[in-house]
Amino acid sequence: MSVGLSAEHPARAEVLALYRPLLERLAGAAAVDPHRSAMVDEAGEVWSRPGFDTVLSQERLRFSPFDYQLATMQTVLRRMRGRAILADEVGLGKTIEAGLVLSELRMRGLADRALVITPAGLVGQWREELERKFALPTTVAVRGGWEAGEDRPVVLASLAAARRDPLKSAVIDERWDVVIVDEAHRLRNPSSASGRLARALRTRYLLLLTATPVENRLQDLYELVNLVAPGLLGTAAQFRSTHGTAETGVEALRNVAALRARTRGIMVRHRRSEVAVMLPQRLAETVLVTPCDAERSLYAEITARIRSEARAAAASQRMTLRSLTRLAGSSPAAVAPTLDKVGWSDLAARARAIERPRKIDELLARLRSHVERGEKVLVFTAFRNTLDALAAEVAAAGIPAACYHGSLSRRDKDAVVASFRDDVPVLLSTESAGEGRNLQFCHVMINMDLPWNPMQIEQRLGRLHRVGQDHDVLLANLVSRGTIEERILNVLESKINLFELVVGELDMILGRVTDDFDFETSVFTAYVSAEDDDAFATSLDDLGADLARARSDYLRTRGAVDQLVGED
Amino acid sequence: MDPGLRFWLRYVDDRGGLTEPAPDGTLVVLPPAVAAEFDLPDELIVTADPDVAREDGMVLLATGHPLLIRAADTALTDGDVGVVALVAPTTPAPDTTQLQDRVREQFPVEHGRIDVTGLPVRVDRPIVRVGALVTYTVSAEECYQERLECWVDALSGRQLGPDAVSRLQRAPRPEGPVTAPQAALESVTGALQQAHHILDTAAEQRRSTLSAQASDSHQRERAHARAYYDDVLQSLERRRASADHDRAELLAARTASTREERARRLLEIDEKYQARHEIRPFRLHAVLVPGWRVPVDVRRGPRCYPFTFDWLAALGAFAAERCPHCGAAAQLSVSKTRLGCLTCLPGTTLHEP
Repeated sequence: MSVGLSAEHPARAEVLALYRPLLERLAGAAAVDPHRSAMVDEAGEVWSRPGFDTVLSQERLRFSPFDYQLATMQTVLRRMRGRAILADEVGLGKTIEAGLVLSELRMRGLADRALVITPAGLVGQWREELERKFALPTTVAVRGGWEAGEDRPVVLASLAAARRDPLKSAVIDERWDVVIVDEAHRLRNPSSASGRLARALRTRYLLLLTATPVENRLQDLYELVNLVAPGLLGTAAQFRSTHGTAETGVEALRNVAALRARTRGIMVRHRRSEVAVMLPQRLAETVLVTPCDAERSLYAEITARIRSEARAAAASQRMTLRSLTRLAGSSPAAVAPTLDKVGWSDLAARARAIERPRKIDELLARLRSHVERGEKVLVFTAFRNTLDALAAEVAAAGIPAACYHGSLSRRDKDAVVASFRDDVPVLLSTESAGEGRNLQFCHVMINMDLPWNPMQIEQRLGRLHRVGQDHDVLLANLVSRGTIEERILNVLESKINLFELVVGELDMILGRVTDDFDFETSVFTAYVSAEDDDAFATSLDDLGADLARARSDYLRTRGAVDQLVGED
Repeated sequence: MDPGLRFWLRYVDDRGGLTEPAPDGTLVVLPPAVAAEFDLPDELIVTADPDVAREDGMVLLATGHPLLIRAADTALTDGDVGVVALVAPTTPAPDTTQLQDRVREQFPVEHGRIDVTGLPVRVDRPIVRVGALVTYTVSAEECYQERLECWVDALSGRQLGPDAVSRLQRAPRPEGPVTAPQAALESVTGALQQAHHILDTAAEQRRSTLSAQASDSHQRERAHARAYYDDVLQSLERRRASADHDRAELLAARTASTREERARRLLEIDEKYQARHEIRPFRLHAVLVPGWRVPVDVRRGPRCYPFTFDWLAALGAFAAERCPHCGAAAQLSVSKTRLGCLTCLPGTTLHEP
């Protein structure tokens, strides 16, 4: 008897392939075992209930995560079984999401052996976040290894250290429960030292954090996905034949929807447009202050000598001269001691003779105005000597202020922040202020000097411009006319719109200029290499053009990532 | 007991391990192969209570633990496969007249009549039972897993109703080894596609229901994204209006990229809510239902067409049949040239059987 089903259902081969393992067993024609049937039913229950319904770690958290961050944690643990790429847009808290996953796994005894690999510059930040927000003990791995304490600390390692022996061998030898890699796009190249390290690690759970899982090449995505879920995208040959060759740009790839559907199973990506986290605006103002004659001539003399000396200087001396240039841009009080140290006592004496720089006048006027309006003000300077000078002037002006700097003990720092929150309207601070501290009760910031490293500017802003800030953040940059800082600010504002970038975007832009791009070094090199200020201006224009290109590249990449991986 | 841990203990038992209740937990002795499979010691005490595990140093195994998931995965992959035989009837087949009355009652024939032409012969009618886990992804955040099952008559490809399934599940089963003829196994294989089609259709219906429930979220998310981008674009436009040339260019570029992003985002939201499902079969039973094969002629005047029907004692009914000509599940019909059904024979009135 023919039932003629083949014509109705052309996918016969596909169906048979799906059932083949069961059919092969049926060929043995053994009787059904009722105990086994019951066990398989229970297996179905277990498989259907992935657990993690209750967040055990929540009461240990020292902050309140956003709903979407908690949802991400559950998605990663329930659906993705603890192996995922966290690809949120910059600034949405990938670190928090990873910390939540780690914390929950540890609470359940599933992550005693945890490793976090981050760029060297972020090790401290991770340590701070894990300890302060998640109450997780940490230890930092160094060349020789790490301390395995009784409380099973989370091991933090910089990527630079972990990819080289002897630390490389140590992390590879360990069988980890969970490995978290921040800025994981650095692992894309399987033949690079970082890529080889990632592929040699043994871990049950793996979280890769990157806002850019794909740059311009399709192969980037394949490599990262393969780390998390080997085989998900098929073999490299299958992947190429389905979606495009390794070098295929994102614009030309095929079967995008199918690729997105696949990657959704292992990737979470949130955009600002979909989460209820709206940061207020940043309103930046550049205040050009005209220095007095003594200031102007001192600055001109210092920078001229620096340019002259630096051309023939050894590397270490060049570093000193660079610091000197920045000190000169901050305040006469800051630069005087270093001028003495380099033997330019004549200039040191002239610096000390300047009683009150014009920028201080401007600062005091602004502080009075804000204080009258009942606004708290955070004043930043890069240098302790400037801070001390400011403290004296502000006190003399009768404006109550607290001072925060790196030499204070933890308890004193806490007391200073509490005083700023509850009592005084002004906090004078060096860069170290408020790492991980809640300063959102203040929304006015004044930069007395400008860091040459744009990331430091970003970090300063990040103290106030963060989730939880209800007001638009007002930022005033006090810059003396004719200084290098004035030119830097011009480049950063006009070429990449620095102060209007979203938190975290600056890092993405700077990382695209060149592999080892360092803005501060580039500026100083341009300065000392230039014959005169006009040549320096031309060099800075070129630097600005590089930044503008990097910015366009970043925007293009962000689009490519969205196009390829969609969202969670 | 936590269902996950209960399953794992059963799994260990199935693999030859031993389990025994202990204070606050369960003592487990694992065979070497299982210990190696899970990277566990040969002997351990397990509990599903995190506090007990922390304080008493027991191994915490509760739903969600990867070890349980792995065991469940293995159990499901190995599946529940085999042959089920039902006890053959000990009484003789109903007499020919009774069978003829029953078959005429159950299978009315358009323009024809069924006559029993010989003695019934003992047969085992193969029925395929298929069980599967279905994962429904309604949106990126919503994912459900449910079980589906169907019983399909392997020869006709017709699905059994709930009453028939219930009768077969209650029917007594013989002790001792079971043998299934090769032909029965082949017919089971042949019916698999139909069984899968039935599961897939049911899954699609369920998915539609779930998807409709997610529709509000979909609209909310679209509205949220629209509001967000409108706000961003207005803000950019406002700033551009008062910006100098260089800055205005930057803001214009940002506006363009934001517009592109908005279009992408809205498309993605729609895509995100395109529900899908995935079927993972884990059960395949060949159920051999004893019965009597009854030879008949389907007559129209002097013309007669031989056919057979299977009387299944456990169901108290004949097995459903399909049109011998076109395979449709429609009422049989006889023409002057052949036996067919209301679907394939022209000029007949179409009724669902």
